[in-house]
Amino acid sequence: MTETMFGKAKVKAVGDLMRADENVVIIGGAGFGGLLHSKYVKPLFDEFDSRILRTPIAELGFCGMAVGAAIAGLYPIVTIGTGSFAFEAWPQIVNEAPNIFYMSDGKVKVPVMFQALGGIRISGAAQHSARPQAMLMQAAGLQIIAPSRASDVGPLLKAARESERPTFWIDHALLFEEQETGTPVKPPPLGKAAIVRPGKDVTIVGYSIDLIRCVKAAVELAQQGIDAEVIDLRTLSPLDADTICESVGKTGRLVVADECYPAASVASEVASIFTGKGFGLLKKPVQRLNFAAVPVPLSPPLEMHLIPRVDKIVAAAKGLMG
Amino acid sequence: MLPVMSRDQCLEAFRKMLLIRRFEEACIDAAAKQQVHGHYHVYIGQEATGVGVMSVLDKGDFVHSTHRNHGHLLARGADPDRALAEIFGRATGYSGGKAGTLHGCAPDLNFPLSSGIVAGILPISTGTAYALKYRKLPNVSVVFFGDGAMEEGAAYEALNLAALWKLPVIFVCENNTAEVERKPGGAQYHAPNMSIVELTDIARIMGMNTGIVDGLDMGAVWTAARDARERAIRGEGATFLEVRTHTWPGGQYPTLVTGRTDIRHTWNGEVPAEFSKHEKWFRRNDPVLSIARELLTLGMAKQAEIEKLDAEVTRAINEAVKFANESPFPPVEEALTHVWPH
Repeated sequence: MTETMFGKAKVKAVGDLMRADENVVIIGGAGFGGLLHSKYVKPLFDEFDSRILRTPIAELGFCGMAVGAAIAGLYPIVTIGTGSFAFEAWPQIVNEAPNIFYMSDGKVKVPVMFQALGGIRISGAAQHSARPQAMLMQAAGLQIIAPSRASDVGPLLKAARESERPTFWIDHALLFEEQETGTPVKPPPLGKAAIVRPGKDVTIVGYSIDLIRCVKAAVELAQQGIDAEVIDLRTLSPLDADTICESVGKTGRLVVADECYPAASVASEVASIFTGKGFGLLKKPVQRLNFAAVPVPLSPPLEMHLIPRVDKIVAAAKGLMG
Repeated sequence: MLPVMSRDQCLEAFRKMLLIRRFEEACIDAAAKQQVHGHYHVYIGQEATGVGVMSVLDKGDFVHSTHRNHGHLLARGADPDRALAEIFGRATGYSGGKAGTLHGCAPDLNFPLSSGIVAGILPISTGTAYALKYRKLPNVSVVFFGDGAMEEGAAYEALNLAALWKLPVIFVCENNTAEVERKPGGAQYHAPNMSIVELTDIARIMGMNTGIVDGLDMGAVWTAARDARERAIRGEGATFLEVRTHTWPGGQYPTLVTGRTDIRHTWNGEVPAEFSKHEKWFRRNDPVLSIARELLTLGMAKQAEIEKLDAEVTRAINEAVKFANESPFPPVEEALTHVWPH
C-alpha cells in the first residue's frame, strides 16, 4: 500500500535507506517528529537501535562528527531537531561540510544528510521557529532538499543519498500529518521541480509546508474559476529555474509562498529568475508572500497574521488576474 | 537548614517558594486548557534554589535564565499577573505576548530576556559581568541553567572566559536529576549525558571557586550564593555552583502524576495510595514541604499560619489566572513593532 501520510512516508524512506546499506547511520538527539509523533518513529528506532547514536545536546560536536564519519565511509543522517538548533552547529554545516569536496579538488567526499524541523511551528517564538534554508543557500557546495509530499520524500532522500553531496533536508514541524490525495506525480530527477497541479492562469510556487498551502489555495482558486499551476521546488539548492520559466511562459503570472524573511529569501531567488533567464515572461509583477522581517512572535494572533496563509495566496493570485 | 535570616525574611522566602509552586501548578492547569502557547517547563522541585540565591542579591545585580525561568522571575520579584499573561501570549505580559514561556523577561528587575537555547545564556551572563567590572560597579551577574547546558560548547567557552578574566559571575547549574546514578553517560534519563561525573570539576580545573549544594536546603543555597557574591565583589572572580534537586515525578511530560501540592503534607505523613510510588517525593524531596517542616520545627510558623499563607498565595495566583485570561491578545499591528530601537 502506498503511504499517504507525510510523516509515515518519511520514516519509511529513512528506514529504506538504512535497510539498503548498513553504513547508513543516524546521529542525533531528536526524532524525525515532535513528541506527538514519536509513536510513528519508534518502530524505526527499535529496528535500528544499534545504528542510532543518541547524542547529548551538542549540535556543533555531533554535526562535525557526522562530517568526519561521512569522510570515513558512513552515511550519517543527522537529526538536529528544531531548525533553530542548526545555528548551534553552523560552523560545521556551512563552513566545513560544503567546502571539503571542492577544496580537496574533488578528492574527499562528504556524503552526509542533516535533517531539521525548520519553520513556523505555531507558538515556538523567535528561538524555535527558524527557517535556515535561505541562509543555507549561501553555503556553496551544500545541497538543500525540501520534500513536502508523501510520494516524493522517498525518491528525494534516495536521490540525495546517491548524489553523495552534503545535503541539508529542510523538514517542517507541521508536515508530519499532512495527507497526500489524488494520484501522485512521478518524481522528477534530483534538482528538478515538480508540477503538482497543472494550470494555465497563474503559477504558484512553494516548497515544504508552503507547498501544502499553495495546493489548498489552488483548490479554492479553481472554485472561483482560476486555473492555477502549482510547482513544488523540491530542491532549493540547486534551484530549478527551467521548470518555473516554462510555467510562467504559459501563465505570465507568478505567486511564491515562502516562510523565510523577504530579503535574500527563497522567494526572492525565484523572483530573480525573471530579471535574467525569465526576463519578459511576466505579464504582472511577482507576488512574494514571505514572513515579515520581524523575529517570530509567540502570541498566536500575531504569528498567524504573519504566516503566508492560504487566504493570502488566494488573494495574491486573484490580484494578478484583474 | 533555613538561612541565617530573620523570621520575617524566612517567611518571605517561603512565601515566594509557595508562590512559584502555585504559579507552576496554574500553568499546568492552563496548558491543559490550551491557554499556554508552546511547550513549557516548570520549576517545581527547584524553588529553594532560585529563592535562596535571589535572597542574597542586590537590585543592581543581573539575573539570567533559560527555558525554565518562571521560578527565577518570581523569585526576583516579578509580578505574577504580568508573568502569567506573557505565558498566555497576552498584551499585558512582560513582553506584550511576543516572548512567552521560554523567554521570561523583567528588565526593571535587571532580568534581561531568558534564552531558550540551553547554554545560550552563559556567554551573555559573562558579558553583563564584564560590563559590571568595567564600569566598576559593586554588582554581580547570576546565571541559572540546567545540567543539560553543560553538554553544549558555549558553556565551556563562557566558563573559560569568566575564569580567565576573573569576572563577577555566579554560575548556578541546577541539576534536577540528583537521583540519577552518577556515572559517565548517566542512566536511563537523558541528562546528565556527560563523560564528566562531577560537573564542578570542569570549573575547578579552570581555577574557579566551586560548590556542590543540596537544593532541598535553602540555607545551604543561601550561604553558598552569599559567599560567591562576596568573593566576586572582592575581585576574586566567578563561582560555579551545582545545586542538586530531585526530578519532580509529575514533570515527565506529558504524564503529569502528582497534580496539586497539598500543603498539609507538611505535618500529615499520609501519602495518598495512588501516589505511593512517589512517597519519597512527599517525604523528602519536595523543597516546599521541607522548608515548611523546618519552619514548624523551629517554631517560626504554626500550622494555621502556613495554611493561611498558602491560601493567600493561592488567591493571588487565582487572580493572576483571571488577569491573564481577561487580558486581550495584542492587536495584530503589534507584530511589526519593536524590531529596531528607533
